[in-house]
Amino acid sequence: MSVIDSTQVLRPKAFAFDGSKALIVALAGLAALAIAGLLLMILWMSLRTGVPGQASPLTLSNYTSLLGDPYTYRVMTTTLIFSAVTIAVAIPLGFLFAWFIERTDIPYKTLAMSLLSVGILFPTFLKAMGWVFLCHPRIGVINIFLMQLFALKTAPLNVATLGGIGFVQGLTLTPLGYVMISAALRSMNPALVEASNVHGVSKLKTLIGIELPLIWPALFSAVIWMFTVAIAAFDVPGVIGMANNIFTFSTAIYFMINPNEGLPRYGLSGAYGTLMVFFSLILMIPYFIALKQSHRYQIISGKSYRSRPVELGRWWMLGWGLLGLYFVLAFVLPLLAIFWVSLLPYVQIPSRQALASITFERYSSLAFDSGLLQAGGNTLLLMVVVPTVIVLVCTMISWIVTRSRMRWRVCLDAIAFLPHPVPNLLFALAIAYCALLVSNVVPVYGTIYVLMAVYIICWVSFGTRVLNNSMIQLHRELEEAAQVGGVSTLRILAKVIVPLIRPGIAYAWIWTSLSAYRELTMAVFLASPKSQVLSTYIWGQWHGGGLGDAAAIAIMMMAAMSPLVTTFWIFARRQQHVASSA
Amino acid sequence: MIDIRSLTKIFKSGEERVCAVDAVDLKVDDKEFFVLLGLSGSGKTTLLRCVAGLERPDGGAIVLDDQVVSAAERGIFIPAEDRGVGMVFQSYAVWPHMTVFENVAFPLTDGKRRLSRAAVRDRVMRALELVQLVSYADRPVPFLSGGQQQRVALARALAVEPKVLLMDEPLSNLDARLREEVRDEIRSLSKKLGITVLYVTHDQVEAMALADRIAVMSGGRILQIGNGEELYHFPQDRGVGEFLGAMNELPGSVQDCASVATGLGLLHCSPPPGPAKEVIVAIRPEDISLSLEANDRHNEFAAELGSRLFLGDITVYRLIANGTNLHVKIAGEDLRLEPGTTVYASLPADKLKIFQKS
Repeated sequence: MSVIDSTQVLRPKAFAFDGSKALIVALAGLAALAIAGLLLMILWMSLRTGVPGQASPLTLSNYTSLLGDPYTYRVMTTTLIFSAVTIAVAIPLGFLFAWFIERTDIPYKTLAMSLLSVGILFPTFLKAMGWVFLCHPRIGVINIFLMQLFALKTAPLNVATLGGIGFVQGLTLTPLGYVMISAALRSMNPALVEASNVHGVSKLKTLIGIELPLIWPALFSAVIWMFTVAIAAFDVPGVIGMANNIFTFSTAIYFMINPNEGLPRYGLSGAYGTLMVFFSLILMIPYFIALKQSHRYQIISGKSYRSRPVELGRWWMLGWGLLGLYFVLAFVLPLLAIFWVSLLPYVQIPSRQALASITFERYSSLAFDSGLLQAGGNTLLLMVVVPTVIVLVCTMISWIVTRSRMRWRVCLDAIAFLPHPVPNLLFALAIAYCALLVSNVVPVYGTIYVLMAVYIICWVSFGTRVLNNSMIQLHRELEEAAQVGGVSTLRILAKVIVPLIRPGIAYAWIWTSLSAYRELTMAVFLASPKSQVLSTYIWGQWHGGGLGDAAAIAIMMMAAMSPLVTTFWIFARRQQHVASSA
Repeated sequence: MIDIRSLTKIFKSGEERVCAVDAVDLKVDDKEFFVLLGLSGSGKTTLLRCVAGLERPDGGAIVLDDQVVSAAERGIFIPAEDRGVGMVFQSYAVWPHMTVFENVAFPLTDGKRRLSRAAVRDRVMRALELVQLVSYADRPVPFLSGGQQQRVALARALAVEPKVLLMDEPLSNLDARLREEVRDEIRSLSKKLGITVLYVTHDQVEAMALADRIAVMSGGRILQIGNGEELYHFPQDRGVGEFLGAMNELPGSVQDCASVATGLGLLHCSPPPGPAKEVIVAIRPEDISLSLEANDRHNEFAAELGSRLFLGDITVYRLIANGTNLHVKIAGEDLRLEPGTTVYASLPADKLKIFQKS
């Protein structure tokens, strides 16, 4: 062996550019740029006045009018109360269900678990519609029934109040609460609880003295997460609140862009949006601190070790009573009410007379409605393209984040996470603004492609969470073995990594496809007459007064969704993935 | 074949900097079976991964088969996929979604040096023949046992016909009996094929069974290089001696050029010349001989038998002599001595190893 300088240097090629790595970085970088760019666009909007494209100096006038307007404070108070009611419903229910399922011997656990997990996918705005049919002071079936029964002058229940919409939102977020809390309960070391029982402490004392303090950080982080979801919630406040002059941040922004009269106020909505981004990012600080705390109590041993479940005895009936009541309130009643309304020419309470007027006419006439067909076609397009692109881009991002040693991979992960806490409607708002800015050059405004783009950008956060998790479980040596064998990065990705994380990919694909199906919030900000999707079509009918038609389309939508949900459910069970995102 | 010059690899985690490989120089000859031996964290695996191209060194150079593949100071780094080495991983790293055949063929069909279909088939079958897995070619790998998976990994590494084969603790996941079997197979295969092997292990028996030469590593540095006998009988470093097998260690001080005073008494030996007064005198348990009568030899001490541990092929006695514990291994016929008996232990001067006290 000779001295280095006289030996030949082995070079791959004179041209040392790695094409496959460049492609991966380019795709991932593009997604990150889009996310960061749209967030900056919100800030930019807030510093300008007038309509997009109009010359405007940079100004703080939007902030001064925002801060000087008592309306702002009313919206803020409304949002806070709404969120508080939501949390007060969803977290205790979620905790109870999680405790019954994870810690006791309650029968039919799998059924309860599946119903709750699938419940996350039930379109929220449909639930809201159902509750209007049930408890609206004028047309609510329950109200009319109670008034007739007790000869009341006024409606006893009113869903169109702050408490009402908070309650309905809480019902829709209970499954999310359950998922987050049960994950915490499952990862807690059961020996800690058993140690208390063995030494003579009662079940209840153990629950209060040991279990609750141990999962307190996890519970707290669930509360914060629920808070960010509630602030961003649009469906329930939009369907029930807006018509009754109850505005939260999200519906207030919608109303600024779609006012009953006058021009859209983009600048002011940008200022609101900046405020919301600020709030949601601030909330991430305690969220991550609490999350870190909660990891301290997790099981360290790799062996799966389950504690003996609490024997409920006859108390299981209480558990299932609660679960049953929840399912009736959250799914059965709203769905029945929608179905009932869809069959009638006008809203009536169930009676012999009403039964006589039942007709399927709406369904037969809607089946040939060209607007509906087009909306259906657009929805289908989104359901195929959006998940496919997301899976592709997220594979690249997750590979960089979990596998490569690129210096800025942590930044990439943080940016990909951003659409999770930041309300998605803000991304829709920003992309609408961008599309308007370039509409003279590229006429994309109002097309389905804008929806496609924003869905992809927002759900990259979900996709990367799932795929990061899958990839981290792959042994690094599987990849290195191919590398030593002379295989290029892109080929390793395609032929070794992707086949091995296929279940994760399938899970992410189906989940985002279903999300595209049920998404209302981003769609209402962007849909134009030519880019309607099913959810916005129902929204249009609803606010245009066609309650019956809206109900009929909703029922059709639910029917079409069930096979997809079943497929998802099978995959999710096989994967043991539980969705932590709504 | 492998020439490593002052190779350095530093891992940074936050503020902490760990020097995993610290200016290591090493030459592995053509067709040599070379073992890197050390505890976990000694830097042996990092050194191997630097040779493979899976880690980028921070300093020094690596020359493989007369070609510079890494020279940190000159900014040269050839990535793993262009080095043309074969490697067997600790976790086997066989791809679970492929059959045995596909696993071995993948680097040949999708790697940098692609072959025609016929050539691939030929090479794969030849490699599988070497590891006796031809009849398993179409099986999905998850259906194979651990030992068979390990052989797939070996076939995959051999199929690229590398000049250098790198192995990272390939036997550590196998059970004891299988380990010996595969170990001997690996040694005879490498000699039959005439390839250079760089092999990492923490098991000194494995190292001695396999290696032409062994490098004992600790703290990112090589303590000593030599064949098994040299390292076992003439360790230059107390760490090397301890690592290759148990030793009785007696702290003492040098009296003159022919004796050291220890707790046991005055030991006749030849301490190395130098200013060091405080030393450790060490002797392996099997180098001490026992008898029931005094023979009046050098370095012979009366001792009381503390305990007896029968291990089948050997018996281990613990002796107490002048308040000092001594472990003695007697092979073959057992003396059947009962605790409490007085025996005479003799420590031959040529078996005594003397280390500087650190």
